[in-house]
Amino acid sequence: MAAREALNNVVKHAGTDEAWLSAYGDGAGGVIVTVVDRGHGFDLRAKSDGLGLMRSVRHRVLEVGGEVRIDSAPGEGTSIEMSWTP
Amino acid sequence: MIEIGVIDDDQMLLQGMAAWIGSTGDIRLAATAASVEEYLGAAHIPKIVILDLNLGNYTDPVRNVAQLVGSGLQVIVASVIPDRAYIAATTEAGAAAYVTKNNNLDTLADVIRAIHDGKTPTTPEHAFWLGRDDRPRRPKLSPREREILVAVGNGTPHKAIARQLGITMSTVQTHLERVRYKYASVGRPIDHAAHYSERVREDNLGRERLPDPPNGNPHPHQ
Repeated sequence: MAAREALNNVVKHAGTDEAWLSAYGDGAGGVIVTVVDRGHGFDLRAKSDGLGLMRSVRHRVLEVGGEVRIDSAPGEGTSIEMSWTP
Repeated sequence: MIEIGVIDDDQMLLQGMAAWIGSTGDIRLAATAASVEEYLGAAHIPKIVILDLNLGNYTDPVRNVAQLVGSGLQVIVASVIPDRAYIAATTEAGAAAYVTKNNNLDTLADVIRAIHDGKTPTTPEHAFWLGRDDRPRRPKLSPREREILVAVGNGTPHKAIARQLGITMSTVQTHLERVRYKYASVGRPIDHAAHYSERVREDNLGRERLPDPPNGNPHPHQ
């Protein structure tokens, strides 16, 4: 599951043992899941940093027709929003 | 040294909390009580108090908060199970902060210190539930205020929110404070029992609307 992959990523790379996992409906039958940590973060423009994360999470979400938004910056943690609409 | 009190009827939690607070160095647990009356009746009443949202004596959480705030105290509401309607209603009643009991203790310490400094901190869990306040009479928030609540509620650090929205961290803080101000000034003081039951009716606290019966006729009493 994509959220697990995102959480794995926190454990492996974020340098923190804490993450916020939120899941809620969008009111129209869709689902939004966010995984946010306050760890290292990474530079979105530096390809090597986020590539593995992008690939592993994105693959799982796109497979079921969902969307992924990843936001991060050095020192500001990482936020992954996965959304799926019917 | 910051003195705090705790109102909770869970002895294990009180003992655990006393041990942990002792380890912070700058915060001291100076009073504990199992009810609001017991707390207010004590000889020494710390100004910052952590209040269990659902005391075992079935007293009303909103009245408990109002009573403590009315006595000049700063109230941190704590709960195991988040109850959206009560979190919103206790915020309106003047609670300074909301924390979940499984929050890590460093977070609680930060909340206590912020309140001691005269701030009204909004924890991610607090923001999460206020951002999903769907009571008919909730305070009217701007789209930006709601956006920031949802982001804080997802656990996003203020710094990242500021960067995403192209605003400063202090503007993020200002929006949160404005949200809290709107809640605090809803202007629905609850000062006696009759008034309160009126509010419960208005907010439909703790009650979900029953689904319509299969024949499609709405319930006669709604």
